[in-house]
Amino acid sequence: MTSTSTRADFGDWLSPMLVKELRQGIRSKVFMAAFFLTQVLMILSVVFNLTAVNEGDGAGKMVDFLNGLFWFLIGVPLLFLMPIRGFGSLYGEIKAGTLELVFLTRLSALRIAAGKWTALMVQTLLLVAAVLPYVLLRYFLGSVDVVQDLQSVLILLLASGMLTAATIALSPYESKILRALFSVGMIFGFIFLLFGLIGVIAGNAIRGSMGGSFAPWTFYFGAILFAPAFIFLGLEVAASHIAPPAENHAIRKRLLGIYLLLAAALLALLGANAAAAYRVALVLLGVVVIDTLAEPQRFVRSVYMPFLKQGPAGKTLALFFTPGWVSASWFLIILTAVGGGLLGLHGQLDDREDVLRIVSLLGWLIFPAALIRLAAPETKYFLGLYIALQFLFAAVTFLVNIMAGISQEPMTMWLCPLPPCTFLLTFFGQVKDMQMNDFLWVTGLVTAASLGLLLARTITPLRDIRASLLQNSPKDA
Amino acid sequence: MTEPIIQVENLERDFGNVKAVKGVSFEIARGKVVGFIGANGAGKTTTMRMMVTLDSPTSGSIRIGGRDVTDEPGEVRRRVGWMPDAYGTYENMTVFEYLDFYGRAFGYKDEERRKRVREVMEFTDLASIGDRPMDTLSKGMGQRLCLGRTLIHDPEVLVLDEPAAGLDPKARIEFKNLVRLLAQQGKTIFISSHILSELGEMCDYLLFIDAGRIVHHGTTESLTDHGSVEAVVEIRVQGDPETLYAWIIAAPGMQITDRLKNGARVRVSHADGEDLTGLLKTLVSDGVPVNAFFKVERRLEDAFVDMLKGSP
Repeated sequence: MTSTSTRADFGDWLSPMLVKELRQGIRSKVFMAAFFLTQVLMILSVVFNLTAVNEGDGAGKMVDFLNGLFWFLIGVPLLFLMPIRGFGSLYGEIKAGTLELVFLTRLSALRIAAGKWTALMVQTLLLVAAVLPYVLLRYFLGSVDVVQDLQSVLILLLASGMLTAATIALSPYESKILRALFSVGMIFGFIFLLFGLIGVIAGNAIRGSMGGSFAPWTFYFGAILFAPAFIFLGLEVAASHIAPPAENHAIRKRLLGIYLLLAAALLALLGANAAAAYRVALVLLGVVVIDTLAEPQRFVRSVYMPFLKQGPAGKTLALFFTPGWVSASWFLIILTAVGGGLLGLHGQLDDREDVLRIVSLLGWLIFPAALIRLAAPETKYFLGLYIALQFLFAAVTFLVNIMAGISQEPMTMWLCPLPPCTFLLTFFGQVKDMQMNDFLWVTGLVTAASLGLLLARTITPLRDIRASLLQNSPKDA
Repeated sequence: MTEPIIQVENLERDFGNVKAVKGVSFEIARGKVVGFIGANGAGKTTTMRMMVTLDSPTSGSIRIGGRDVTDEPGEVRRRVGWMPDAYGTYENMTVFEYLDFYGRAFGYKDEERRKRVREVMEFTDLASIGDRPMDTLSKGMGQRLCLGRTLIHDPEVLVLDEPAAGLDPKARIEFKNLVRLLAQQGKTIFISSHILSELGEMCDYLLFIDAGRIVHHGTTESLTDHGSVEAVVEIRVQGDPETLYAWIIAAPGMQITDRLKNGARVRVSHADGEDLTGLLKTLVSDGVPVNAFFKVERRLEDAFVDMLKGSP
């Protein structure tokens, strides 16, 4: 098979997956409906705006309302209708049995996921382009700053891209229970994001509360550092779930985890709010940790061979960067060391509460994983069990906190051996000063023990992997 | 002697405690058409999926064109075309666009891709329906489209899993003809099917798999032959067949296997061509009113059932 070098067809410049998805997507009923609905709603919004301008007294309130309505009407397709399509993108292909035929071509799992995301974003851009004339029309009607409006569109677009990456990341999961949980979570997330973002955008657009510029430069710099990382993470999570076992996605995902910490450190160095930067990094890092700990452990010789060819250094790297929960558990040591070091460097571990927050966050992430790997190391339902345990701990925390409030007894102390409960209590400021030391010690010990347990659980699979490599024959470990 | 294009050695695949494939080994020479036969759950699809890199062996090895499926999956994929027993359709996509997508995905550009898509559409007789949405195709057209997709990168080896399942007789004949044409082009074809008579007509070799083990590997003739020492003949007579039955019972080395309305199917021991001619002459000379006499080939289905009875 040969390939010609000339590219007369524009589609040849694009990913095959993108061409396919665009062909399908633009003809889809959802896109057509979203497109026409947006147009109709925009026209209505402008008509109302015209009416409000002619109203004279009381026009200010009306303009406020219409401004909110305008962003709401743009927000629904951008933050809901288009991203929600990502949720079915890979699932539909898995269900129809079409995905594995695509794997037999030259397309990698990441290119497939990226093609899906790009196609959805191109369609979203088409929607945005169709909205732009109305943005300009609002400017001519008065009471808005067109630069701020365009910035707002940009922010909505960015949020849409991130949401779409998130829905694509969740789309390979076939379990009905998980999909139902994700759907509920997404709807709540959408409502929270839509109203939060639109509140900010609408408010700022009218009042120009940030002195003419929409947001400080750190916001944009942070967005440049974190948004692409979030999108890439979502696509990598999706790709690693659909990829054939011979593809190693662990390296990129885990390096991305380290990148998030370094990005937060860079922001802090440049004078941004260090706490906020690390908070964003840690939220995204949580996704990396949960996803890697949920990876099934499979032995595929070809994944290990590139590491082994590098000698002792390669063998050491294989311990941290091969797919599966075994090496993910070891990778936690690197993350903890890098994260702890950077947080300490930027004064984020200066007081006990900060330390407890970080330690309990680590415990929140790994304690349920340790329990699951202790009881059923090779379970296929890790993620389902993990989410169930997190719900259980949240429910226990909620109940004990209520009981403590009613009885005026320090009952929340009972929860300190459970790091997920400690994390929730810390997060909501329910740990009193006098309890801080006890919480810190117990939670710290349990978290360290959880990590130790996870690592201990990796010994048998590691022996199996070693034996399989020595046999020089593929074997499931 | 040239290296076999498919080499499978001690292949095993476990799903938890279930051993789906147990020590399967075989070799297939370039350009041969090989039928892969087995009951449901015998391990056919699992073996085929490992051959095309969609699944990994628990142990053992598969080499396609000298490349190991585990170590060099990319190289194997370039050489193999996989047609599953069921393939999904895409919404909002035409037949042409479907093949065009796979052409792009296999790295064909511009005119080269268009030419390749055209060739495949003509070969599979899809050229006239290139603009039709693929989710409106009949089963037969869909299978031809699926075969077209399998051929788009011009693979040396075709692995076809139950390609004729669910097709009507006309579509089945059309499909069989396409496989014959591909065999003439020198492709190595590894094909599984439940329609054993068709496999017998198409294939140079047959592989029987039962409970994850290969139980037979040989030519179609070696299976349909009743063996060199016996033959089954069908004899039909004019009028009442009782005279025939009585004659057979009295004759040495003959046994009625089926009593028919106007005749019988008879197993003849130590029979070759000359013996059978002698038998017919004797029947006629003894006054049995024979109006039809012919040797019955053993059906592949019977061979398959006999083999399953004989396997552990």
